[in-house]
Amino acid sequence: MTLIRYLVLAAALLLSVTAAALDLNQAKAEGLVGEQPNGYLGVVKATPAAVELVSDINEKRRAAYERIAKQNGITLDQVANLAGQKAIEKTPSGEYIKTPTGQWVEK
Amino acid sequence: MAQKRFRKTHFFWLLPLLVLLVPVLALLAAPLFGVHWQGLGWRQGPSLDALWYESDGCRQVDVHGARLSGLWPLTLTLDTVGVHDCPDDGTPFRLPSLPPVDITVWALQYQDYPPLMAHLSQAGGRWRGRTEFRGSELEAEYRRDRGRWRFTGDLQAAPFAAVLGSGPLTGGVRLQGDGQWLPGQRFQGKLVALGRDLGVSGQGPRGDLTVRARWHNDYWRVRAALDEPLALGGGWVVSPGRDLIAEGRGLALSQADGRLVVNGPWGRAALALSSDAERFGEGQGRLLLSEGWRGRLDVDWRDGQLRLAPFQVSLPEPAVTLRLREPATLPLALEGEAILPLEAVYQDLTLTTSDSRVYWRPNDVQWRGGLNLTGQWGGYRLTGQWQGDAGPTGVHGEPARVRLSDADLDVTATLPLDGVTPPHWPLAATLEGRYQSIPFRARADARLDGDTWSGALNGRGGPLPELDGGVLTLDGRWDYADRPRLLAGATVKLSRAVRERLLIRPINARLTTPLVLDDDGPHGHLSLDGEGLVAERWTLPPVTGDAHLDGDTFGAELRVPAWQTQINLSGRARTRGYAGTLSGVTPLAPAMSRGLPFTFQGGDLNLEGNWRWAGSAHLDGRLTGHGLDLDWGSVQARGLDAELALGWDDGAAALATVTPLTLASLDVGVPITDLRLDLDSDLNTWTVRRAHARVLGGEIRTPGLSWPSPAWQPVVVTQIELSRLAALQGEPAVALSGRVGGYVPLRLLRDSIAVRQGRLANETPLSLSILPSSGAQAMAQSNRAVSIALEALNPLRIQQFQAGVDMAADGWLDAAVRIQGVNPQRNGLPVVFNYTHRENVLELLRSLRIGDRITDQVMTESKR
Repeated sequence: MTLIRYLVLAAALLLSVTAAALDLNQAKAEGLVGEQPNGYLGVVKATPAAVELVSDINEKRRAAYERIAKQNGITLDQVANLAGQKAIEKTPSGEYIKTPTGQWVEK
Repeated sequence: MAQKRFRKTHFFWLLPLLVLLVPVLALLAAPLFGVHWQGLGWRQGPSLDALWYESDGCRQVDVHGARLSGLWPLTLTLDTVGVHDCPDDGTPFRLPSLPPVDITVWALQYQDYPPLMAHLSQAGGRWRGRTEFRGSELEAEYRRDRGRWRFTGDLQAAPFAAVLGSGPLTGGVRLQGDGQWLPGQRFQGKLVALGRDLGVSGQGPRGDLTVRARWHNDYWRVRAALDEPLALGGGWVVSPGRDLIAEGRGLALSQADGRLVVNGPWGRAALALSSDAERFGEGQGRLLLSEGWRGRLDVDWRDGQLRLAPFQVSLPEPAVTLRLREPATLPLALEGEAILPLEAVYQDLTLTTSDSRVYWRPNDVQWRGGLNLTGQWGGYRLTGQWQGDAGPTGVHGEPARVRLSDADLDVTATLPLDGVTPPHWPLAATLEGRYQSIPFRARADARLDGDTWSGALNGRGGPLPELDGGVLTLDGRWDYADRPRLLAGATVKLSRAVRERLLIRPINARLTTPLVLDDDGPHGHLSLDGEGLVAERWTLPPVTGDAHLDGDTFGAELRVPAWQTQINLSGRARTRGYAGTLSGVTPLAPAMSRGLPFTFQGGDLNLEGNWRWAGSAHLDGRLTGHGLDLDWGSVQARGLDAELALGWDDGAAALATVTPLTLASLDVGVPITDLRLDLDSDLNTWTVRRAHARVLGGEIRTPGLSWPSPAWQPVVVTQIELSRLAALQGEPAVALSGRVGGYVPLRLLRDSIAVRQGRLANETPLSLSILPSSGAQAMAQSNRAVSIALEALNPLRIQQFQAGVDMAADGWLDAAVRIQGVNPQRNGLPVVFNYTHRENVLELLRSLRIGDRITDQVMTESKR
């Protein structure tokens, strides 16, 4: 049952990918934004567009983390931290990630 | 003879025709002599709508509503006659020879002075005139053949107050004069004016003033005597002294003697004039200022010139000192020029003239030169320059420049002065400079209408420091009558800006009433509209509100419509800083939780407090929450009520419960109810005291827990019903009864939790039975030893249960359980069961259900 639920969720998420994803990739490539250990996107170089983009994406991430936390009997932060570690691991070299000490570094 | 009779007969017949033709011809020929007319008509006699006399392009006399009502004497009625100021062409004025005339003017107005009623008649070269004005009257007579004239009159002072621009006047003046006027040859006469009870109503004493004057062509002599102190208005009183006697020729003063003392708000002024008896046309004078203003002005006149010695005059309020740096010589003539090297000092500011010259001629006076401003004012360095001329027709010259600067501010104002002319004196200034690192540019214009200056003000400053892209703009109109005002509709806008990682959307403040600058500060109302804030993990929706400024007090009501949040702020300026009250109320909703580790599901918050700003912020308040529902992922808290005392003192925060915080239920997988605790924190360390809750039929309590803290802090559990614990199983595997209790020492560090020597034991006899389930069957079938153990344990009456738990900060859990009891179904078979378990809880959590697949899905979803 749990597996089916995740598959449905994954299908829905894949269908919702739009041109904005390109904007995120572009922002990451330009070094404007980066991944953080807390599971949320961070602003590396503050521009109005970068802050708007990060805020919008983080709102969606939080909603997804909350759903998963409730489904798995754990807290929001626990999900977010686990997701953050995974996201940093998957970040390609050349893009920015935040270290546990709070520094932005190019991976 | 018949022919002669015919001619006579027809001559008399033609006479009336000629009489009619003469005025017609006169009207037709009038423009040749500068007289123009229009609107010929009939109004109980021939009439003209307008009649005027022009000379050299200047309209000297305007007549409206002229009506001829009689031919002998020629009787004219004129509704209005205006006499205007035109350049004198040098032609001596003469009264013409006319048939008998009788002219009535209902409103005779000279330039902008109030109109008079006048009546003028002439017969046989004898002219008589009479004028009236609000109780005053003047009668005059002139005989053209001998040139003799005389007049008498009585003037009431009160109606002349408006003319003189003074306060309400009292008293009256009797005039009497006579003499001879032969145009182009002789003009001589004498005049006596006797003033009685002259003064300003309700302001000081009244006095009698006598002025006697006589003249012969351009020679003149005046003698004035004051019998009593005389109030001049505005608090000024002139005291009687020696009679003032002056004598001269034209503007040339040949003799002046007298003494005059005036006392007023600025102090005392004593004027003394004396002529040199030995040398005609020479004399000297002195003006002594004291008792407030201070200074001494010495003058002497000789050879038709007035010499003014260098002087220094200090005014008390404002504290301005005026200096004449070098002696000045002024010709006593109708037309001339003089060099006046003046200098004014106000506090540490000095305004110096250069090439300062005054030119005058009849009806005109001009100043020309340069002004140079240097010094300090209000902590700012001030410099300025201007070169040009000024006079009744306006100001001309190069743009004036004034620069004001200090460490933070540097602004240069440029004021073009060409075209700055009366009556509106239109000005347009540009200001350009910087405040700290903020560049700004503004434009202000002004014009005078009546007594009010008004204009527009537009400015732009920025980008603001630390606000990438933030630009401030100001647009509005202002006026200044008795005090400066920024008019309703003026706006200040801050464009979209980024501060660190916070996006500030545009903010707009708009005046809804004029903003008035009074002595106690600004007064006015304004509306506020902010489009909100955006941060990495939270947003503030659009904010609207109203604010009011009342001198040293102010207030604001702000609303966040999307959250139904309302905040009220009020304050007052204090000797040092500001202080006031703050209140707010809001329902709680999930949308407000974006930056928090938990999600608000409901409830209300209410804030009341006092704030203070004196270089740093201070807040004392009370935050009350009712019926708060919160979710920490799967952990759900419902029915939270709290009343917290909040404090903020220069960056140091403090909060503490005023009454115990209560929580109806907390679901952490195990339901906890009736939670009650005290809480205090400085936002770095959180301390829970006297915590108590119901759990599984028993209770959990602690005298105190601090986070983070290296101390081992015990949590006590008692009376836990194992039957309720067993009921939490998804697929029941065991049935339990009895109660257990114990304690768990915790170490709560910032990023970890540890347990040392936690102990649980039975508080009543326990029972255990293993229920048929797939899990139990699988275990029993796994090997024979387990099967035997399960049979021995099922069922079991437990006399002694002991469990020990330790967990390190890295997540490694060690548990040891000892169960001692008997199996009643095996004839009381004694059973002793020891079990140990070791596992890393954090690793277990990581591998639990959050795999790569799920995190990938989250990242993909959030890319939308």
